[in-house]
Order: sequence, then structure tokens, then C-alpha cells
Amino acid sequence: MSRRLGAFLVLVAVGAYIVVPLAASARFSVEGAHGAFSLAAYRAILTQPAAWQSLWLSMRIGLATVGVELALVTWTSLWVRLHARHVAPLVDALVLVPIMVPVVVIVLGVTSSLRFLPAVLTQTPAILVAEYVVLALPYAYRIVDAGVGALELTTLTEASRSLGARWHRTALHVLLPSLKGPLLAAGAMTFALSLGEYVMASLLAYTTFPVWLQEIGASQATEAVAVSTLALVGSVVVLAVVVLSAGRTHRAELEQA
Amino acid sequence: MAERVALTSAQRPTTLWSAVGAARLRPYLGLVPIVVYVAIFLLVPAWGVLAGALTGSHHTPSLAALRTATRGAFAHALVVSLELSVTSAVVACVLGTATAIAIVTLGSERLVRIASSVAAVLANTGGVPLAFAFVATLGNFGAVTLALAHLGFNPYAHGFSLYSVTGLVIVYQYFLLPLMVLIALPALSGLRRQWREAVATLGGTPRHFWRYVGLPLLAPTLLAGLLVLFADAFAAYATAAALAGGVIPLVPLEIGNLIAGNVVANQANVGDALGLEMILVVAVTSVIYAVAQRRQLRWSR
Amino acid sequence: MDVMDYAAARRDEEPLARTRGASVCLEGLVRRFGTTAALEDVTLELAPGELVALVGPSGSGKTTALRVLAGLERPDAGRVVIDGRDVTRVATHRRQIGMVFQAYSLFPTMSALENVTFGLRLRGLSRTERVRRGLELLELVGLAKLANRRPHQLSGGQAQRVALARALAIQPRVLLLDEPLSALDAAVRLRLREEIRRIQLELGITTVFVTHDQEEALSIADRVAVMRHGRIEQFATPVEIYHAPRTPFVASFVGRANRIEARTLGGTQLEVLGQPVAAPEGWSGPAGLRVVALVRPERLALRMDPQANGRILGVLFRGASADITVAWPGLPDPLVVTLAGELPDGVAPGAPVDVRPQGQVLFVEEPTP
Repeated sequence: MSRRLGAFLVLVAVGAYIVVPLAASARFSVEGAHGAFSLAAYRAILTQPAAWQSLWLSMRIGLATVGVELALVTWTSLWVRLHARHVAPLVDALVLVPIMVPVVVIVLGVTSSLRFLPAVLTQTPAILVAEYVVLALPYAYRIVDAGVGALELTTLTEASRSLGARWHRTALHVLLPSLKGPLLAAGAMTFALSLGEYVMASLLAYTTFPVWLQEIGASQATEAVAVSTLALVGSVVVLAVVVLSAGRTHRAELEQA
Repeated sequence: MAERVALTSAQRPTTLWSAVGAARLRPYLGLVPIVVYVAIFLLVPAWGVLAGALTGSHHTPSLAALRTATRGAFAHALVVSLELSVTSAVVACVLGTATAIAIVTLGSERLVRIASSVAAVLANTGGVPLAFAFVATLGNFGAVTLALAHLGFNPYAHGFSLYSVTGLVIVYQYFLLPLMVLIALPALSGLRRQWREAVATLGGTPRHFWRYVGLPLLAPTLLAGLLVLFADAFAAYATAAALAGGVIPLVPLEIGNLIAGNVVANQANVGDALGLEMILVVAVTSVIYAVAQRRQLRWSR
Repeated sequence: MDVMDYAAARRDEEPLARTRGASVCLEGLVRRFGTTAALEDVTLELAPGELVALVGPSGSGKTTALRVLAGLERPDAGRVVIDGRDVTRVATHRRQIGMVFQAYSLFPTMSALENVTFGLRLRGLSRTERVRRGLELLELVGLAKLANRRPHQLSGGQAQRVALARALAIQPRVLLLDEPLSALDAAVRLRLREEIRRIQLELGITTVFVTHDQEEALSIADRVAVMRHGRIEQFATPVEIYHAPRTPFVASFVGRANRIEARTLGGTQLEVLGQPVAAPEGWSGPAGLRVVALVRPERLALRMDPQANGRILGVLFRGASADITVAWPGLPDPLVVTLAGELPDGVAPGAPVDVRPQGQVLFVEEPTP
């Protein structure tokens, strides 16, 4: 069974490559003077106001992004499937366009071409929200659309209407609850994306969490590594939740069907 | 039928739109939000970059920006970017495929599913935290560096540096390798056991299987993977900025400098030209990827 | 031109894929997966040119036995001997066997012809020679016109024919078929079944045919091995298997059997449904025992009789025959009687009928003490 042994060794090697940097940064972050275990770095970050401010900013941006994203994506997906089936391939292609444009290039375009929009949009973090929605679009749309696709949409709406409900009540009480899984997954993914986005935030000079992290990296190495460890582990956990919950809901719906 | 009911009960057609016109347009009404949104926040900026690339300093059409972008320091940045991207992509393709093969060899379907989820998560990590984690690992005083030095071999004494193209290639594997695994796993899982066994019964060794059946079948996927990896590496910014900002010339970083730094009048459009360069590279690879995908699907039914 | 004519014509010209069939011997094969035993002491001997069917329910070990014979799995104990040579430790690609899998085994990137000639290509035959042989084989299975089609352009039946041609191309000593027809439509299955048998007879290849369909096994095999839980319950000709099953499992798995509570009358006589009837050959026992007699539906005679105790529960018309379900006093399960040809007048649910066993009882199950 040398094939299996070889396979096992490969996976161990890859696993080591993934885990070692996490372990190294974790260890680095708790190393005090003379190699003693110390949580000084973590304490230092927690007491820095800049840390909390940037985190708070990132959180607000993240939540706003999730709100806009889910609204846009859910509306569009429902509409396409209910009223405009024939346009579905076009919409699918449209939501994939953001992948084709590198983020730097979008930033470039934003700084020069969006001057016609009101300043409240372009000169505040709202612009980050607006653009993060675009960045997350391909992934969020796919997740939610898959969930909507798994619903018996026309049957549900017609049943609800025959019971006397108007459109928005149908949506609120019948459709949305069935979409909990995909919405959660898409929301978590969008949130993770906006929390971890660096390029746009730094180039547009907003001190979000990743930007602050990069700034302290130069001067406070240990603290920077400590935060990185938290961020990496945290994002891994969040995204794992996303992937597993999207998968589980999909499977549960398949079993119900 | 449902929409017609809604129309008559919710609103009587006014003279502004005749019943026929409204009925024809109605399906597209709900698409307005997303189309307008993408138009404003993606297409307009992208168009701005395209237009800017072809505009001169006096707002007249000009190829000057493109010329500057393909010369001198910027050309060098493009070369380095391509070097970095190609190397990272090839390494990730080989290692990722090997990993995927290892996963599939160990057989269990549960493992494949778990591996896919893990890979999906890892493929989205990166950026600044990743860079710092690797500094703590392979930097001058990184854990692995010190461990190796302890064993008598300090990589830095032999010319290695994390803050080089080589270093970046190593760091990029963190999200490129899982991406390749994600791409390769479905194709590898699709390699039916019966084919391997049929080759054996017909007198072929495992090498024959790979040569005549496996690789030809996987070739489109491997190519597609290579392209996706290349595009991903090419467009990466945060990790590169954290590790190599100012040290290694890369196109995304150059654009960043032009945005954040002093924007001299005739330099503004150079950024756009570089942006156009990037869009073209990514667009071309995306198209090739789509074509390769379609061919692959045809064969593994 | 039908396959037999073609084969007969070619026979005089040149031996196409004619092989002297090999003798095959499986001795005491044991194969365990964890705690389950897929094979428990399986021993089988095949004469050259014979077609043996391995039949049984899923999990019976028939596919495992085939795969061990092919070399795709290693037995934990026992030997595989082909033509007197112990090949237990020999790798699959050196055993010179041909195998047809259940489905989807054609190489997708190659045309039908390329699939068929793959084995020849590995053996270094020249291109012209390969194409010639490949087309001959495709003719043999009736698909010469589809030589350039890709597998995804072929129907299930066509794909399996190509798979057969591919397996035969290398002139194997043994041909192994792992449920080759199970994934096909009923009509295609019947046709292909006969063609496989004809080709096998013509070429004289020793063949092992695995199936879960006992009717399929009985119709084409020289001998049938009925397997259950990793063991061979009976290995005999189809006629023997059907008419003289050696275990209750074989009796009920192959064909259908009514299980009727009966009494022994001493010697070789039993009382079944109130009538004296002969026990199977070789069986005898003391009087007064309660046993279960297995009787085939076609061995029960049915007569309309207003004074009889039986009541018709249902009639299932099958065209050439009909299955009549009859409730009989004292029996927990209804009887199934198969009548060939036209039904007697008055056959309808609720009608009173008399049912009598004819000939010999198929099998006697004695109660466990």
C-alpha cells in the first residue's frame, strides 16, 4: 500500500505548511522577555484605543455591507426566478464581472470616475460599503441564488397568495425564513470579506482593522503578530461556519425535497 | 399569470404606459437595482480606467499613457509581476494537484468533503495577517528560520529572504495551493475507479493509466487551474504590500503608489494604463478558463 | 448479417479472437473487510470454455469473488489458479483476463475504436493492425458503424458492446463480466444477453458472469453458483438449481416457491394441502412430523370447485401466463398458482377453488429442533 503511504505523507507535509505559520505566529505573540510566556502583546492591543476604533469602523462597514448585499442579492434572485427566468444566464454572468476586475483597478476607477456622486457617499466610509458589496457580489449571489433555487418558489408564492397574502407579506413570512441558511452563509462571507479587505481601505485612507494592523506592523511587531494570529484564526473559524452551514442547509433541503 | 393578476389588482395602467408596454417591460423592472448598482460602482470606475488609459494629459485621446506603462520601471514591474505570478501558479498547480491526488487516493468521501471545505476557507485567507504570520515563521528571526539555523543551516546566510520574489512565492502558496485543490478535487473524484481497473485488466500499469486516460482527461482542469492561480497571484495586493512594499516592483503595488502618492499630471493616466494592463491579463485568463471548463464537462459524464 | 452468420463465416478464414478456453480454479478464497466476511471459503472450478454465472443478492460476495479472480482484490486466504498456474500473487495486468464492468468503463477521451484497440496498443501492435482488429471486433458486436463515436454519444447497450469488444481484443484466457446488463433497459438486456452467450460459445472463452438476476443466470449459463453471505450454497446446472435446490435459500431465491405447512406421512410421502405427494429425491422421514414444503407455483393445479376451501384473492394476468393468489384455510400466507395459457371460466377474486400439488415437492424444510 505504498500509494496510501505516499498520499498520507503528502497530506502531512501540506498540513504542516498550513499549521506551522499559525503556530509560529501564535508563539511569537506570547513570547515575552527571555522567552517567557506573556500575554503582554494581547493586553497591549486590547488597551489601545486605535485598535478598538479601527475594529469598530470595520464592524460598522461590515454590517452595512451585509445589509445592502443581502437585500440586493435576495431581491434580484427572487425577481429573476419569479418574473424573468430567461434573463437568468445574463444575471449570472453579470455578477461574475467583479472577479474580472482586480481590486486595485476598481480603487483607481473609484478615485477618478465617481466624482459625480454626492460627497456623503464618496468621501466617507460609505464608499467602502458600496464597493465591498460589489466585491462580495459573485460569492454572495451564488450562495443565495442556490438557496432560492432550492425553494419551490412559484408554488410557495401562489399558495401564499391564494391564502390572501400580498407580495411583501409573502416574502417576509414565507420566503425569508426558508432562506435562513443561505442568507447566514452569504452574510458571514460578506462580513468576513469586508473585515479583511485591505487594498481599498488603505488606498482610500480609511483606518479599518487591516489597515491599522499594517500600520502597527512596522513599529510594534509582537502586537501586530498577535492580532494577525487572532485575525487568521478568526477568519478561518468564520469562513468554516459559512462553508459548513451552506453545505448543511443545502443537504437538508435536498433531503426534504 | 401571477404577474398579470398583480398588475390589475395593484395598479391600473395609466396613460403613461399602455398595458402592452408595461407588460413587456415589467419583467425587467426588478432587475433595475442590481444593474444600476453594478453600473455605478463597477462599470463606471472600470470604464474610467479604460478611458483614462487612452487619454492624454490634455483630455485628448492618446497612447502616451500606454507607452509609459510599457516602458522602463513599469515594464520591469510587469516582468516581475509576471515572474511572480507564473512561478506561484506553477508551483501551486503541481503541489495542489499532488495534494488533491493524495486526498482522493485515501479514498473516503468524507475526507474529500472536509478537504473541500477546508480548502475553500484557506483559499480566501491572505492579506496582512498572512504576511505577518509568515514573518513570524520565515522572517529573519522567524521560528522556522531559527530552528533551521539551530540545525546548522540558516537560510538567510545562504541568500534566502522572505522579502523577495521567492519568499512571496512561498507565502502565496497558502491561498493558491488550496485554490488548486478546490479546482482539482472534482475532476480527480470524477476519475472513475472503473477506468483504472479497466486499464489494469487490459494489461496496463498505473503509469499507462495516467498517460493514456488520466492526464488527457485532467489536462483541461489543470490548465484552467493554472490560469485561475495565475490571475489570483497577479492581482494579489495586500500580502505583497505587507511583505514587499517598496522593495519589489509589482504592477498592483505601482498602481497603489500612483493612487496614494503624488499624482503628477501626466502620471495620472499611467495608473489607468497599468490598470488596463491588469484587466486585460485577468480577462484573457478568465475567458480561457471558461472554455476549458466547458470541454471538461463534456467528457466526464 | 447476424452475429452467428458472421462468426461462422470468419471461423473458416482466421481465428478472430479464438482462444482455447482456460480452466479456472478458485480454492478456499477468504476475504474479510473489518468484521464482515465478503468471502468465506469459496471454492469453484470452471472447465475450459464454460460460462459460469455467479448469482446472489447484494452482499453475497459474488462481485468480490470476481474481483479476486481479476486480481483487483487480494484474498486473505486461498488460491486463484488459471490454466494450472497459481496467479494469486500476480498483478491484474499480467493475468491476461478480459473484464466488462457494470457501466461507464469506456475511456471518455477515446473513440469506440480507440477504446477497443487500447489493449492492443499497450502490446505494441502497429496502427494498421490495430485498426483492422478493432473493426473486426466492432463488427462482431454489431457496432462497426459507430467506430468513431465517443462514449458519451453511445447508448448504454452500445457502450457495453464496445466494452465487450475491448475486453475480447486482447484474446483473454478468461472473460469476466460484472453485472454488465444491470444498468440497461429490460429489452436491451434480453438482446444483449443472448449475444454475449453466442459470442462466448463461438469463441470458446471461459467466462464468469456475475448477476443478481437469477433469471439471467439460468438462461445463459452452463452452470450456476448461487452465493449468499460469502458462501456458495449450490453449484450446479441451471436445471438442477431450479428443480433440485439443495438449500431453502436456493429454493426461494431461484424462481419462486410457495412455503406450505405440511405433514410427513412416513417414508417419502408428505401430506400437502390435504393431498399425498412425493418428497424430493433422496428425502425420507418418519410419519407425523410437521415440516414446510416448498412448491413451485407452476406445480400447483387449480380447479374451480364450489365446495372447496380455497378462495381466490387476486389474479395477475401476465400475458402468456397468470398468477392466481389463493387463500387456503390454515395457511398464514396465500398460495401463488401459476397457470399457463387460457384461464378456466369463473376465475375471479372470491371464487372458491381447489388447489393440489403435482409431481414432487421442491424442497422440504424441517423444523429446527
